[in-house]
Amino acid sequence: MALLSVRGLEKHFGGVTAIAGLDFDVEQGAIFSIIGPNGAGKTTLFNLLTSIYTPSAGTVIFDGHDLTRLKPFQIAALGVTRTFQNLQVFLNMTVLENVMVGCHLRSRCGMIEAAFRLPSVIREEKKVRGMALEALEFCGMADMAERAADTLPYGMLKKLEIARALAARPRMLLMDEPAAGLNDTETVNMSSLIREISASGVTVLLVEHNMGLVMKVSHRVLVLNYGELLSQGTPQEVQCDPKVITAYLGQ
Amino acid sequence: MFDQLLQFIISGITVGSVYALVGLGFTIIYNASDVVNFAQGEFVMIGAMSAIFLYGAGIPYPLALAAAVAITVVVGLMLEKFAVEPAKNASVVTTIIITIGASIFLRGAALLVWGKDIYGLPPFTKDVPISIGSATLLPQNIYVMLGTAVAVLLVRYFFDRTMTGKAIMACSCNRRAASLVGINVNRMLLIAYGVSALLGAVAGILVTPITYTSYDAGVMLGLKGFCAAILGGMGNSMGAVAGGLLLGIIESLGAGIISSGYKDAIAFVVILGVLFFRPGGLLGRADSERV
Amino acid sequence: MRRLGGLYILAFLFVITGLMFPDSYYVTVVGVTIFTNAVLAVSLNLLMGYAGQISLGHAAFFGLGAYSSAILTSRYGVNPWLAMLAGLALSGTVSWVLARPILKLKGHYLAMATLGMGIIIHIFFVQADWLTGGPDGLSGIPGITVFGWPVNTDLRWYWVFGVLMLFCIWVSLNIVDSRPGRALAAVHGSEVAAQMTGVDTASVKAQIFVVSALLASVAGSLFAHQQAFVSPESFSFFFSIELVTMVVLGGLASTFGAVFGAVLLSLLPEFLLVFEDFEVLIYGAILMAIMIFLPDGLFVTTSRLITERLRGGEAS
Repeated sequence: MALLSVRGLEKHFGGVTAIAGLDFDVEQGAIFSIIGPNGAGKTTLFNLLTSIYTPSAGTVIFDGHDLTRLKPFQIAALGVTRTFQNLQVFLNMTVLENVMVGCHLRSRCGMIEAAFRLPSVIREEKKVRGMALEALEFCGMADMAERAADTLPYGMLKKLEIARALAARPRMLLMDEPAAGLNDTETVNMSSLIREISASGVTVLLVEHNMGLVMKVSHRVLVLNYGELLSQGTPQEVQCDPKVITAYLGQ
Repeated sequence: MFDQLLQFIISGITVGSVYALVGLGFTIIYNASDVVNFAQGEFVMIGAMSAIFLYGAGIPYPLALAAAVAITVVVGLMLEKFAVEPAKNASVVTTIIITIGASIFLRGAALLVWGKDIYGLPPFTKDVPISIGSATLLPQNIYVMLGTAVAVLLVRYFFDRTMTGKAIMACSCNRRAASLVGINVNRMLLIAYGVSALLGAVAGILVTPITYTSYDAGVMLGLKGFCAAILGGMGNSMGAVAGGLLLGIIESLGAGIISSGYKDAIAFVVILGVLFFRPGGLLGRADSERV
Repeated sequence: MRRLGGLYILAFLFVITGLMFPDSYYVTVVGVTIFTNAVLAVSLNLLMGYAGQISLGHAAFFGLGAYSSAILTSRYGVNPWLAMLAGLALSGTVSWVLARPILKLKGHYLAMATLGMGIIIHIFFVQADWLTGGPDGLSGIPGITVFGWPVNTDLRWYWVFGVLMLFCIWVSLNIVDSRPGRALAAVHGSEVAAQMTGVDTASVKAQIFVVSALLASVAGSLFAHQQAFVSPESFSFFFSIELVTMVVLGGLASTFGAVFGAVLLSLLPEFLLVFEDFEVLIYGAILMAIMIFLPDGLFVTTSRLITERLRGGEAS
């Protein structure tokens, strides 16, 4: 059984069809990339998978749960988390606090306990701090823990989003253009980070424009065009598909 | 019973006209700059108060009215120039607080200049009530309705047909794009505040012969105008006009049938109901967030 | 120590001032006003500063607490502490019921809804004279006794309100630096991202709305007993705006900023007494000027400058 299976997924905005009847499966442990020209509906697809948009039709089954019926925070609780194309870092916090928010699901202190700072809260705070530092360490950012998030350069903000997402110990991570805006060195670092994430047992869904990176790290690639599935397969298969070549070179 | 209902509706439309004009003023500024101007009600007060005092100083009535409108427009322009423009990139909360500050400031200024008394204006023409059944209609009621209708039509014409009006609308769609095609965005914002202040002053002058005014009369009018704008769906100018009239009628009926003490509460209960169940306003539509 | 350092300093100042100037009008009478406002500002700041949810109707919960205590103790002879609990129950219920629909709204709509809520409750205080005494208010509210210690002098009220304020600040600092506190700040930073880290944003917003209402309600109950009189004027739309002003004056998302704003704005009328008529004007001017020139608030901007100066000193 696939970890994620999407069936008949559709999304219309008014009269515009953004996603038109999409079917695909993502296997546990895969790095599954979604590519396509601008406006192909990649980010829309991510927003549908995480219930930020409600689909017009179709189902998204993750480990037996229909995600389309859930709210984003419930989806996160099932172990699905994501990063964003236009960064959604909490700029009003430090780096460490950002990642500590990522640990939200792995801690349980409520408002009342917090208000009176019961001993259990102090213990948990320590634990959460440790978990957050671990995630930062994984992304190679531990030395920046105490910096204010709004003082980080762009490339670091992208990594911070990943660290925050990983702090939740997700089973599946959706990454929306992690390499966009990065220079060559940073891109190389990013591709090894993606591999490490995958090696740690997280299934990765990747939307990316950098074909070099996609072809290097992906196990499977899905090509979208105008919201429709154009092609699907291993990186090699997709690269040789004449339909893909036409769409990309614009015949 | 029917006559009484008619009477409520007449006074509802009269008050509603003021809400409509204030709501329209809100909408114009909101469309041009994404700012909700909480000082909108103060325009109404300043228009009315200036007219009263100019007239009281012996200036001929029509001239006093025109000068009052001019004064209010100047206040509107100054508000834009000195309070809104310097904080151009501020967040929604910040702009809300700035305009609330402006409204308090203007109220404070009015208090200093005119004191705490309640004033009225003489009606435009002799007050001969017109009877409809046992309901009565004052000529001033008719002036309010006519004046509002004319103002609304002129505003529509301005935004639909003139180059400046279209340029202001362009600022609302995309400020950067507007400035790239050569629109002077700052000037357009100034004009928007000017038009909006003008509408406020007109509303104040039209209705004061019926309702009287005082330095703090702008607060409630401003809030009700905001209600009107939200009822119609924020940013929808004709929606704001419809919302204002509707609010005026509901309020007047509620005050007459339920209790006049709760008159102001009725408007806010209605607005809460609308916000809870139709957050996009009666005529607006809900839009989803982009990520 | 670092987390609560400010609180300890404030507690020290509070005790010293109380001991040194037990007879000063400025300490005891003005002090109580300052503390009341500080409690309200700190509680509002939890909602507005940290969670980023504007409220233009906070005075309503202050009023619900005050009227609950006033009515129950003066009319029905209920024990003041029980009456305070009843006030908490009422404020808690009202805020809980309204929280979800109101906080679903954003920006201008949220401002409008909270404002509407405040005005409706205020109008109720004015109109329901069979219960609230109407515009004239309610008088003859008894004082309170804390463990057999009657709170019957200005100085004693100073201690009571000061302790309440310190408690409130402590709670605020605790919440801010905790899991729910971070969740709130996350809602402020990016609601979608907060959701994707598993934060039930609607619930956490509702919770903080209730917490801030409860703190305001306690302040209201004590206020009623201290004044021995309540009237709708104290809980109007304008007072809500004043509270917002305190919060932004100090600086959003800073507990001590809110305290600072409360102190400054409570002292202002004392200084402006000379030019009474200018009070409204100056108020508006301050509010505008702060938001235009120091959108981060006076306290936050100043303390940032000081820290930077100190850091710079260490580096060189």
